Amino acid sequence: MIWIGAMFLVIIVFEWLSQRKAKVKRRDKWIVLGISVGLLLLSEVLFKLKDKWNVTMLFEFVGKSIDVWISG
Amino acid sequence: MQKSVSSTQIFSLYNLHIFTTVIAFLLGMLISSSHFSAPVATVIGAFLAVALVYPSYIVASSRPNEFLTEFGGELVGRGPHTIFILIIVLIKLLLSALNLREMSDFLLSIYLIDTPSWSVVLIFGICIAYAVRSGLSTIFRAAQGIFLISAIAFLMIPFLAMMEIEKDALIALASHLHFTDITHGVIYNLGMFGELAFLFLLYPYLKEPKKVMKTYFFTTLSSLIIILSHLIPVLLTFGVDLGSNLVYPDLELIRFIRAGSFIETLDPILILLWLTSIFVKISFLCFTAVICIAQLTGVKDYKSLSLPIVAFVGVLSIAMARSQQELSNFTAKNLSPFVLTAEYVIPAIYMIMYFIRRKKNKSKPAETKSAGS
Repeated sequence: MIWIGAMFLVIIVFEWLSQRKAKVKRRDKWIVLGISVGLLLLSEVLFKLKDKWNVTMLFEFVGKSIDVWISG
Repeated sequence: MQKSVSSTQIFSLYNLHIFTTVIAFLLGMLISSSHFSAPVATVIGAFLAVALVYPSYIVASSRPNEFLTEFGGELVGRGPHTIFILIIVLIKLLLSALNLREMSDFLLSIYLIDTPSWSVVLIFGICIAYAVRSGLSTIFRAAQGIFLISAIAFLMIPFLAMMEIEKDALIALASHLHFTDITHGVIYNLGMFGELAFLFLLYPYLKEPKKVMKTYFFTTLSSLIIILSHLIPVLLTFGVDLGSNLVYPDLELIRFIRAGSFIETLDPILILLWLTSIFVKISFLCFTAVICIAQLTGVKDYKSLSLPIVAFVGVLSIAMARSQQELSNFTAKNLSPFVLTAEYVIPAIYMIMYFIRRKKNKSKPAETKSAGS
């Protein structure tokens, strides 16, 4: 989990500096930062729960719920 | 907007996109669900997919110089449009992660035993991020560069395996056809060949948007020939029972081939082909997801989103399933409805709304005229 955080930190700093160098609008910089932080949090959650509640289980649950909803 | 993608490049990329995954990872699953009906199901599924991607072509070619992510809100309303694009992005990220996971599982289980999975994902992820950052024309050019070699090699392999085939079982491909088996196979193939529909998000990049349907048809035809040239030998060599229980049936088929004393088996060539083709496929899927998110959020330079999104795909590929078995079950049972929704249902909704709005716009001047007179 620490390595995921470290990887995203490197990416965020790299993107921030390259955007500053390219004189990108402040709004765009904050959007990219927001998306990066959002993906970091999502990655950490996914990694933390990978043995208990992973994406395949989530899709199975959603699929079954839709089946139940359709069949009433 | 630079129109940089030619019809030949679309043909090359989508060929790699379709036949690599089916041959590398889905043959066992296809045989397991469709048995000896698999070749027929593949043919029906492929051509049905070409017909069903037509709505996406209609919508995108109505404004070939604009991105669907930008004008889609005018067709279906801003809220639903955002939801639809997010669903497509989610499916694209999931497919990227799935392909990356399948590729890393394959390498780790056969060639890089005891290597940590994160190292394979990290190295591959760096290559993908670099390709995505370089842009769509680079990805398409890469596909064009490796397509010919890949296609020739993929077509050559079945001929080399000809000695192993049980020719007497050939009749089973016609005599063992079952409707249920065909239906299962058609659904798998609709998901695979339907990925052609995702091109509707990138029409402003295309040099000849009007020729897209023609390109789709020839792409489907050629990838179908390549898939069948592997599927039929696998079925005839291993039969249904063994073929459906092998994780990589095509690899096993190739291991049967003895090319000469200087090459023990031909499987290194197969790895070379799979890796390059899957690299192009994942790069394309990630690029589309990146550009959709950039357009949805109004970020002008999509490149700054490429690294975080590829990193997320890497983590997702590691965390998405606990085992190869769970991943296979997911691909076989739960993924198809979501993929089919993104490929066919969403473009169909856009097309219906496009026709409704066009009809309304046509009737408007007539109403104004009558009100004025």
